[in-house]
Amino acid sequence: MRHHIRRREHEVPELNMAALPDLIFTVLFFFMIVTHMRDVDKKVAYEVPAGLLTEQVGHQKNVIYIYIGRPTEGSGDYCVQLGNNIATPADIPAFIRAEHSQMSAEDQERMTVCIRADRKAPMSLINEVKQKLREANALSVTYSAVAK
Amino acid sequence: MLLVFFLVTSSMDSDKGLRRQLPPPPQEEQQAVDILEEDIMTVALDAQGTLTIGADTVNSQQLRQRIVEFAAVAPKRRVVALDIAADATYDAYYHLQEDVVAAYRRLKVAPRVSETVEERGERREERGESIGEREPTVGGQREGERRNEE
Repeated sequence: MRHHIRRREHEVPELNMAALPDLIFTVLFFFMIVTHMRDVDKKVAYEVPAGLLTEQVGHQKNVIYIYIGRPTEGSGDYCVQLGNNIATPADIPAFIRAEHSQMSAEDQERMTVCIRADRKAPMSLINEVKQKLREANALSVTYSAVAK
Repeated sequence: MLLVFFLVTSSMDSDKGLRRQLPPPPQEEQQAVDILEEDIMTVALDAQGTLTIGADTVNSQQLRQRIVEFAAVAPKRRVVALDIAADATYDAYYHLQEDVVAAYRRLKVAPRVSETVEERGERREERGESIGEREPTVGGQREGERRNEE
């Protein structure tokens, strides 16, 4: 009798692992759905301002991003990143036209330019970018920010 | 492995921001518009992030209040002129934009704002064709055209 009880104490019930693959797949699909791939490599470092009046930027496909910050490699002054390249504000109209022509007619109408600029970026550069956007007739802009 | 791949490559950045509409590019035949001196309130932003209206230094809350009081008289006619130093930071500028938008939202009218960024050293005086910004309008009336009519 005593021997029998001891044997029972040492017996560890085996965990049923049959549900584990299902669980992992669920998490996998969750991430597949909620993430979107970043299609550009960040070549500038920036920290967007924090604001209270932020609203959701429109649909991904009609948004053109312009990054303004310090280059991540080496040291340098604030610069503009268009697509995957570091550029100058003078390249903006050509870039906008190229992006614009790739959009569908519906997206072209709703095209928005999202400016992701660093908090400490000087206004002279921001203003230059804005003037070039006006030149390119890209008048709908969004100043990217994080909600406070 | 796939799970790890998605975890690493994903960027969970939320796309949020303040939406503004830039005025159309300056046209050659565009004439400067005369605006009465009393219809302009100049808000200056300097490199240190200080906001000044005339001789008074104001904070964000006071600025909103001043804009509301100023624009409520004749929102279609009165213009808030932003005078921004070239070495002002983007952060300060962003908060200034937010204050303007918030003030005009309180009035439930589209902002009428003109903007000048001072070049380093010399001062540019081009209020007539300086960049004005406004909220995207639903009615479809364009600020630039309206200004030309005036």
